[in-house]
Order: sequence, then C-alpha cells, then structure tokens
Amino acid sequence: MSSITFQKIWKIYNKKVLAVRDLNLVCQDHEFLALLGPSGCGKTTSLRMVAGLEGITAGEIKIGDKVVNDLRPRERDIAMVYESYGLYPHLSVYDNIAFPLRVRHIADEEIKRRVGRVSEIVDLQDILGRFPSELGDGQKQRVSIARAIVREPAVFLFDEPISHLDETLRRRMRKEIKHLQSTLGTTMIYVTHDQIEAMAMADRIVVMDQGVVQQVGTPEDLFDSPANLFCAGFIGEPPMNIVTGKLVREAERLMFQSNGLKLSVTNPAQIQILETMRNPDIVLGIRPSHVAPKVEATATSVPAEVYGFEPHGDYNIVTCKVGAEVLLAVSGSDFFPDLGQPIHLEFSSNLHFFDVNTKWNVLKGQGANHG
Amino acid sequence: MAEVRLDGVTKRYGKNEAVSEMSWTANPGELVVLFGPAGAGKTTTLKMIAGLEPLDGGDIYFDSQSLREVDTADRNVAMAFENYALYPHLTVYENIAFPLMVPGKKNQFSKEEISRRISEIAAVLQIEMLLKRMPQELSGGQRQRVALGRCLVREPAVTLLDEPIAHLDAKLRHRMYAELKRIQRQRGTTTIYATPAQTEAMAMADRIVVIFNGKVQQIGTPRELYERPVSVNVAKFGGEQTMNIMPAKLITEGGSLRFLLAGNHLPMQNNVEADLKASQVGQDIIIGVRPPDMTCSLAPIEGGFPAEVYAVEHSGRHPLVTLKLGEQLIEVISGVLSSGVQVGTPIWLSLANCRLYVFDAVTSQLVVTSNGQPA
Repeated sequence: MSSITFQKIWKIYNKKVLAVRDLNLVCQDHEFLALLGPSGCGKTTSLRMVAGLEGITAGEIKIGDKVVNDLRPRERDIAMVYESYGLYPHLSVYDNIAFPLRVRHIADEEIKRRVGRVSEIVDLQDILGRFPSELGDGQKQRVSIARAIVREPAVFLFDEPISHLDETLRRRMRKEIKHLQSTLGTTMIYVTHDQIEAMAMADRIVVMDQGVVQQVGTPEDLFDSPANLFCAGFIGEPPMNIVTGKLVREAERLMFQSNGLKLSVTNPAQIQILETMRNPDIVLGIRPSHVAPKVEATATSVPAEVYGFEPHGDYNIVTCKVGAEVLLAVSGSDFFPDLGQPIHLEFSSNLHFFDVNTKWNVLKGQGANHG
Repeated sequence: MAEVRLDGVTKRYGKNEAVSEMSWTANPGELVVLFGPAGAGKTTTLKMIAGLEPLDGGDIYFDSQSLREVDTADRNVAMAFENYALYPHLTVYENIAFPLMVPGKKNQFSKEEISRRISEIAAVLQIEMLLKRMPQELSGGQRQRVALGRCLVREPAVTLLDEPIAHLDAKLRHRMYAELKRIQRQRGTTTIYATPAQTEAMAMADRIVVIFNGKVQQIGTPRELYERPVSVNVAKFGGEQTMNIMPAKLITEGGSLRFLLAGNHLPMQNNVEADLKASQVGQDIIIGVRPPDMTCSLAPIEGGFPAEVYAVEHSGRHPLVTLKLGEQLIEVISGVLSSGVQVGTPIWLSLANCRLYVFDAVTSQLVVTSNGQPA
C-alpha cells in the first residue's frame, strides 16, 4: 500500500494536443480518490500515466517514495480494472484470476490458496470453472476485479469499471467495490464521468476539465462550496440553479437581482468581497435542495408559478417560473401542486456567487486547490 | 384528442410472445407512460398502435373505432422513436417542417404557418440555434430533440414517444420534462410514452402502465405505484432508492404473529398483524422496506435485530449505508448514521414502526402494507 504523487505532470500528444496540464496531487495511502470529469478532461490519461501505459511529457509520478516514470507497467506494483474487463476468452475464471500470479512464477500451491481466497471475497467460488462467454456482465467485472486484487498490489487503478452496467447492477457493484476497498485498505484511483458514482464512493474527488484540475475536495466540499461554475454545474442531482443578474443596494442591504428574482445576500464573508467588486454583474448559484416550495407566502418568500413537477417517491422536484427565470426546487413527498399553480419559494442562505468573467466562486479566488 | 384503448392485444414473434393479452385505456388528453425493462414489449406496443406491426390477437381502438382496417397513414398519429431517423440531406428546419409538407396537399399549411409552428416548437425544445444545421453536425441529444420536434410540429389525435429524451444531460432533462408535459397539457393530445427509467416515468406520467415480459403488472398514478406496488417486481424495479426485499417466514409466538428473519423473531404493527391470516403461519413471505423507512440504531433495540455495516456511500443529506445480514444486503438512510460509520459496525434494525410491505413468496403479490403508524 502506498501513496501516489503527481508532481507538475504534463501530457502533450504529438507536441500539440494538451491532455493534462500541470497536475499536482497526492493520493494518500489507503485513500479512495476519484478523478471526475466529462470525456476528454484528462482523467483517463492521468490514470494511464500512473499505470505506465502512457508516457509522461513532463513532471514526476511517485508511488510511495519511488519515482516510477521510467519503470515498466509490471514493475510498478499496480493493478488495473477496465470498463472492457480485458478477460482472456480461452481461459476459465480460475485461470484468468491466476494469470498475473503465473506470469510471476508463483508456486501452484500458493496460486490455489490466493485464487481461492479472492474468489470468496468477490463471490465467484461457485463459477471458477466457467469461461468468460458464459458469464453475465457483473460476473465478468468481478473476475476482472478478482484478477486485480489477487496480486495484492500497492495501488488499484480503476477506469470506468461499472459505467456500462445497468442501473441495478451498477448500484450493486458500487457497494462491492466500496466494501472491498474499505476492507483491504488498498489505495485507489477511480476514474469516472458519473458524478453520482464519484460522490457516492470517493473519500476525495478531483474534478477535471480540459486537462486542468478544477477542484479537489471531499464530496461535502464539492457540494457545499464549488470552486467555480464548472464544478457547480457538474456536481449535484438535480443540478444547481444558475442565474445571471446584478448586485444592487437597497436600503443599505446588498441584494442580488435578476430578471424576476431578488434575494438579499446575508453571508458576511460574501458581502465583504461582493462590496469590493467594480462590476455589478454576477452569477448566482443555488442548489434545488436549498429552495423550498410553499403553498403560503412568508415574510421572505418569493412568488413563483409551478412550471413542471416530478415526483420521486420520498421527495419531489418542482420546476418553478420566477419572472423570466426557470428554477428547480425540492419539496417533501407530500407536496403535490398543479401545473400553473401560484406558489412561494423560500430560499436558504446557501447562495453561491461566481465572477461573471472568471467563472470562479468569489469566495475562492482563482486557482485550483492543489491537494 | 382521442381515447386509446387496447383490448387483449397479443403479438408473437415465432414462438415468443412479445405482448400478451394486453388491455388498458388512455383517456382523451391523458399522458400514459409504458414503463418496464428492455425487452418488456413497450416498443412493440407503440408500433402496433402506430400500425407498423400487425396484431396477432385482440384489437386497438381510437375512441370507439377499431383500427383493424385503418392504414398507418390514416391513423393520425405522430411518432418519435429512439433511433432518430432524420433525413440526412435536409436541414434541421426542413426535417421538422417535413410532416407539414403533405404530398398532393402542397398548400395545406402556409409558409408563415409552418415558420410559426417551427419557431414555437424549437423554442420549447431549445434548438432555435440549430435550425440551419445538417443532422450530421448535431450531437445525439440534439438529434433526438429534432426528431421530437418533427413529431410535435403536427397536432395529431395521438402522439407516440419511445424514449424521446434518453440522451440528454441532467440539466436539460429536467427542463424537457417540464416543457414536454406543458405542451402536451396545453394541446391536450393523448400521448403514449415509453421509457425504462423510473424517474422519467414518474416525472411525465398522468398514469403509468408497468409492463414485464409483455404483460401488464399494474396501472396507476405515480403516487399509487410508489405507495402501493402490487408485486415485488413493481416494488423493486428501477428507482433511486430501491425497496429492500427480505425473504422471511411468518410464525406465532405466545399467541402473536412474528416475522422470522435470519433467525430473529420480530414483532410487527397491530394493523399488519390483523391483516395477516392465521392460515398464513408457517408460510414463506417477503418483507419490503424502503431505505429511508428503516428504523435503525447504534444501540440494541427491543424487538430489533443486528446487521453489520458493509459499505457507506455518500448521498444527499445522509449517507446510504448498506448493511449485511447473513447473505442479505439491506440499504438504510438514517439520521443516526454518519458517513464516518466504519465497515463492520453492528447496527440494530427494527420493523416494528416502519412502513413495510408484505408480499407472498410464491406469487410475489402484495399481501398487506402498513401505513407507517406506530403499533
């Protein structure tokens, strides 16, 4: 088990395509770290540089204290799991799992013991004699995971391992992988484009876009204080409401005003920074779970109209029209409005403000938090 | 605006019965969602309504008219299917305008009328800026909305939509739910909408027809399906928080009924006990409880049972904690469990006060549900 350090890592393809730009990051020993971002953001390239499957244009990658830039993949003490499983079709489940031990010339007795143990961990003990073509998707991915853990590597590198599975199986595998990593304690870098998956599983998440780290933090950090508009819009389901407007002063109070929405700013730290901004244009972000729809008006509520409605069982999503803005709000399961019904929205004080030009959270300044 | 009625509709492909004796009615102006997993028979049903697949049994009616002798072209239905089927040599505008250019009735719609309708529908679908592009210049989600536009530009008696917004990002998806539902209400077009996604079914439907293996399982409003699923299949299919399904047995102890779950004798609410018959004692049953409805505690509770923390996932306000009880995994969401809870920690669960469902283990049908009130 080991930490993984990215030091000033750059990856440029063919001297012109920038894939990863100045990545500085430490994945701690035992940590479950997710690399999250849309396709083309550099997350898989970063993972493959750790694995030794991609060259490093500049910078150093360390596993533990050892620089691995010049080590071949099999010398790095890592194990990878891919979306496509990469199983050998002509080998049985047993032989697939045993493969990495055989190429290392480990004794048959020892192989038998270790394959037996991991096949119990991932619940494959009853199908060791089958071939990949006889397995379901979830079973194939479990074989691929068993093959990764059988070597007891210092580091797991998982690349979108469950993205293509159906919803039910994905939910099941999420728990299995999480359980495995928690109990084995092996350091894990996990690449995914699915924010729900990253938020559910990871200790910390690295959000990337266009080869650049946008934010590094725990799921709570990302949810509660997004570094910039990209992170704000990418994380959270239902997604954050983003509204462009202006800062105005009314009776000594600082207000946010847009085409239809007017809210007072109450967070002293935000007021302090917003007061100093020359440009009154600003972008407001507020999570749907921080907007509560009510039937009756209150002293601070904002009138709105029900524009759409989605029951989700134990909560409901209400799409609301406030002036020209369309906002999402989350209600309890007992709120069943009609389309077009006038309602009232209660906004919590959890407002986020983003600079209209830099797109960064005004409380964060510019520059990613390099963990 | 037409009533759509299926009466014993059956479709076979060789020996395989894709749709079996299916009967349901969509009221005029209603949006009915056909909901079920891939291969359930949803698309086949839509194709039969459209006239693209012949029936092997039963009949379909628009209002009181049987469609048996009515050609596809004369049914006055508009369709959008999952494969977009746009004309590659036409612009987005021309693709959407296509259904309005009826051969032989060239001037049925004036240029101005066509332009007005397209602007309206393009605004709803947020594709105004794409109207001059060619289909191959569009992303999957954009193509899908163009196909939807081509369907909605007409004002037919019945609209058929097959997973019309499966490829959109989260932000656009929520907006499209609202926009589609709105335009459907405004026009009052009877709409049949197929999807395998539970959240989408719940968001769009006036009523949902749940289909498995070509057979109707349950018909009801989203709320009815959530509160009173008739079978294990309906209860556990899809959803963000799938119901925990726990095999158990009914036993008696000191004159009272008990659940026997993994060796634990568990008391139940009075109303549940009253609805279970003494004749069912000794039978296998299935207990269903949704994750937020589980009563849990870090300390032992009277009438409860212990399970071990298996995995912890971050989710909204409270973590989704998976517990292991024997071979059974049980998901819970509770204010008493923080995301710091360690794997292996014993957690006590109780069924005495929670909202639960009891299903017959053989038929999988709902036997009784509690109302969530304390015993």
